[in-house]
Amino acid sequence: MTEREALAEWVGREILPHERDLRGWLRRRLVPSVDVEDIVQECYCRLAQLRSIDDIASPRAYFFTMARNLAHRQRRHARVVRIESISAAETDGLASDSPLQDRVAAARQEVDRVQRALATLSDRARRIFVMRRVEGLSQKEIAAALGVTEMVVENDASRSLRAILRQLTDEDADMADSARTGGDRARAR
Amino acid sequence: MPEHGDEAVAWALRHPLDAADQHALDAWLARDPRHAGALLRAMAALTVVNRVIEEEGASAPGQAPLEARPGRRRLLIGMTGAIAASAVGLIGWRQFAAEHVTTARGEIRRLPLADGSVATIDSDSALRVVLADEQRRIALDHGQAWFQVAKDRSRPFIVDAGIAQARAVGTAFSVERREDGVEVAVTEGQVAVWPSAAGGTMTILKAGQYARFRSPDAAPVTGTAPAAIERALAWRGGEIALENETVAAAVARFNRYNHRQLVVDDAILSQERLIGLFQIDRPEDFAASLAVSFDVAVTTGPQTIRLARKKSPAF
Repeated sequence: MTEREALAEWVGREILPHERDLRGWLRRRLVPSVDVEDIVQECYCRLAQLRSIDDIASPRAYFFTMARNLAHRQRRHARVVRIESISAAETDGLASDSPLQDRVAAARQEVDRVQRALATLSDRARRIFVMRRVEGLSQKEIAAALGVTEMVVENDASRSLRAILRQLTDEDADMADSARTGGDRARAR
Repeated sequence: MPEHGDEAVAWALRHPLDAADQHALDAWLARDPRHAGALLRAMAALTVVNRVIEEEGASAPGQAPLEARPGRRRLLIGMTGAIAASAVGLIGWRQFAAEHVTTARGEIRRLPLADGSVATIDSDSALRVVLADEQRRIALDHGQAWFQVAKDRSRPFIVDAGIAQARAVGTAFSVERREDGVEVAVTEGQVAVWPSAAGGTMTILKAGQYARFRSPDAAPVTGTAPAAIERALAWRGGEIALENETVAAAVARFNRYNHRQLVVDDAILSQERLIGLFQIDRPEDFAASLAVSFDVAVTTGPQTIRLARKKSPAF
């Protein structure tokens, strides 16, 4: 596994599941949605520059703190942001925002969401993901195995991954979902 | 992050990256500092999908995440052709001279392959090995082998057993091809299996799980039986392990390994069940054990060892 893949694995496990909450939290603090987009984007840029994740005790708090700092800068009309350290006090404050059972519940909901998103995929898209992961096939081999062009494989996989990403992180993506689970997002501040 | 997001998703999915791709990716990342973040986010989403797929594969071997829908002719045809065409291609197949390996009755052979994998080949088996740049292919013509596959993500390891196919990246599994069907059993890691003529149905097996195929276009029967799998593979160590198998099944097994054939002349005796560990090349020891346990008469000839229940003495 490359360093980048290891980091992606960690982000997939510890950060991405909180993106929905973070977006909601920013909106409730009246951050304009175009800025929310920028802030989230910038958070991932900073994460991509991380040399080590060992010191991050609470990834959720780290994520929220980063976003909060960026939001402050945004308010001062600074579109370009510097990397700055996050004080321990802030991090601790945010960590206590989210008790362990909440985080466990969030992780479970996230798995449910992915499963539901995967359930909506076409057979072919599913097969593509399985072939990639379980069988380690290249895009070219998958195309040959499915009897389609590489372009079709690429488009299918991209469209599906985008849809899943939306479902995972966008509050509006599955309104029906939130309605069904009775506003479980309310605890996010 | 729609604008970079779409490109980032495409990059996250592109694999494997060759030198030219890597170059293009580096250029794309350099173009905008936000690209690195978008790529990380897309890659993270992919790891989430992969995790769920793996969990599904682990929890439900029978209901593979992908069920074939009848009527999907194009996909079916695509997949069947793909077994031959994928990666190496039909022409490529001929270019690489296959290494033919056969074992005689009673011979158990450990065959190290050039890629670091090892095939342990059972008695009376035949297979062909082609290690190409893009994939490693074994055609199992008959018999059984246990494969310890060296990890190489870029070159999947495929076993073609006629009616069924198995594909792995780095793992250990056995494939048995007999007249009445094919059985794949996984001892380590994960293996994807599918019936050769039905592209849609792919089943993912984890360690301790098996799949039995009876026809090239029907889904296999699957199950989890780690202990039974290990027992069935005792031949690797030159042994036959019995745990509640019938005398008939045990005899059939011994006969696969030995010229001197065991013959059971008694229907009731053949259905008796046994527990024990025997040396694969010593059917006479097995016969002697039966003689003691079931009051059986053993007649040893040059070609056969006959087992018959002793006639009850008339009082």
